Amino acid sequence: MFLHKLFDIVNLKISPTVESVLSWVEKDTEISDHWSNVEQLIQKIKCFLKKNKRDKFIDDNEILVNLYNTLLNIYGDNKVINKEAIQNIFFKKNIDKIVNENEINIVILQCLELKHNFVFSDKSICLKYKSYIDKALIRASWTGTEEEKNYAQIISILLFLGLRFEFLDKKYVSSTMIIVLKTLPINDWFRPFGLIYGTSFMLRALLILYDSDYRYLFIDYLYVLCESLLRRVEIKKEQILPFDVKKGSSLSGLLEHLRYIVAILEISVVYNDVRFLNAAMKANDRVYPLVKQLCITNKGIDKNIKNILIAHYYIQSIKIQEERFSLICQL
Amino acid sequence: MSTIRIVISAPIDSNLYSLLVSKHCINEVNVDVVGILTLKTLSLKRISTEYKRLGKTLLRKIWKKYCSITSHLIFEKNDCTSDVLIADAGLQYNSLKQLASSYDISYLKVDNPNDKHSIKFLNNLKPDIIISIGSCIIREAFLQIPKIGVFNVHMGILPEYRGIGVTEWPIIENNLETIGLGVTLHLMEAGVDTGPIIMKKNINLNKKDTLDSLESKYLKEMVQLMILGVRMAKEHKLCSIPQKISDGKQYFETHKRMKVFAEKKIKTICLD
Repeated sequence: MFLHKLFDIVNLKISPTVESVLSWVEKDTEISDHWSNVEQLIQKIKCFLKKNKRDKFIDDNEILVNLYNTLLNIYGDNKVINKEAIQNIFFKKNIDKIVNENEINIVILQCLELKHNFVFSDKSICLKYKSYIDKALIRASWTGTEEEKNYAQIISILLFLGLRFEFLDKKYVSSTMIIVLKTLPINDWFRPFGLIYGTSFMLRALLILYDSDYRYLFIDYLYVLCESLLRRVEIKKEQILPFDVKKGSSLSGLLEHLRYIVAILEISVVYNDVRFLNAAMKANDRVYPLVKQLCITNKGIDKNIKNILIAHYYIQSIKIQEERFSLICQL
Repeated sequence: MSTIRIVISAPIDSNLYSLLVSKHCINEVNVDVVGILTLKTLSLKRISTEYKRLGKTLLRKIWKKYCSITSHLIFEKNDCTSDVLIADAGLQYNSLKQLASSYDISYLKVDNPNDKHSIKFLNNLKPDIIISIGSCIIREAFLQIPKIGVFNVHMGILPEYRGIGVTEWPIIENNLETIGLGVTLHLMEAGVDTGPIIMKKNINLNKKDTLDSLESKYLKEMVQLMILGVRMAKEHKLCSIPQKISDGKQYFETHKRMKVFAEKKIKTICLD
């Protein structure tokens, strides 16, 4: 009894301090924090665009110029879409050069896909890409060597972009997807040492196919994949999903992680399943401190490409998340 | 009628739900509570597992627990429903250890219910039923021990709502009229809430309900359903229906904004 009394007195004394410490520790990321982060990132990109005007670029590097134009279209004050600049990437470059040159090429394509409501008017690009994909397909495997994995990744990006911008038909993408998926059994998707870098594009392509006549080909695979992804994200609660990227490529991991968050939000829409929105909201909260630290310097577009893309995907995911959440609240 | 041997596996020593179920089982005729297994509260492994599950809110849970242990409060109780339940059961103890000692029941505290000490303890007791309380994953070696099975009451309607946060999810998903809130008694399997269903009971919302107040409603129904299950087993009337996994989904903890949304929705539903 005496001990209880003693504890009561001690507890009463320390209680306010403990409560305030607990409140401080428990302070979670609020949606207002996300919006202010989004605003800051947009300002950083705008500032970057201003300080890296066209004349500062090496003008013979068509890829960088096109990327700059794309970013200007999305974040600049002039909102007119420069279709010509965007289509140049696909038409004027040699296709083999585009996919083999370096990461920047891929990045441009990724950047483009984020621009909504843009569809290629010229369908001739389809043949060019099909021919490339067919050749690459022989050498592609998600579970093979680094080179084979790279081909699988490039094919997935092209299939996704092809579906997104409608320059590849769904029948062709479906049959190609079946071949690529054979190299990635569902159990290999989530390996103990991490997910395979670049698989987010395949998942997103599958989500587009789910809305087509070819859904029956992937319905079971996609269902198991989405449920496994949900469990992985919800149970392990990692700040960033682990990917099989080389050491020191933490930015690549963050980038692919944000693509996965966008994919999870897309699953939420495709399946009309709030569990995925809920998981994405928590994942965005967890990743917030990392994105907040993101620097976009003025050292040129090639030095900042990953950072800009990370910012871009984060901005997109917060926007999609909030659109979806307000829709749920209205119902 | 033969006597049925029961072991209670509880998450912590002072857990009210475990105490109520244990006391009701002790009060039952032809039911012999032969053992109580609890988890060590302060083990590093447990803290790390709980931290993974609860995140930062674990600190508040520990603080609350510390306050309840060090103060003269017997249980962590929020309202008069708990008082009624305690009185109904004739519960006079605030820990399973005390209860076990008073009724000469074997008692063991372990780090993990699946560890070798726990398995050995359970094997020696030869239970017909193990009543599992709490949310830890039970392994095959544990599940194989009781003759009848491991009983668990899930705080949601199965097979539709597996996992956690299933008080909020039917509200968020507009499924109150079709599926509703409720509790399900099932036999445990290795999967999360996938075992055969013994029975379920719906819980109705009323005007004054909040997510917090619903907790005590759940407590009452969970205790009742568990005891009903034990009686059915005693009378050899137990039957269970296997779950069709595709009939439900696994749910996870809700984001705090989802929780706020569910709370608001309860008020709207009750006003309607």
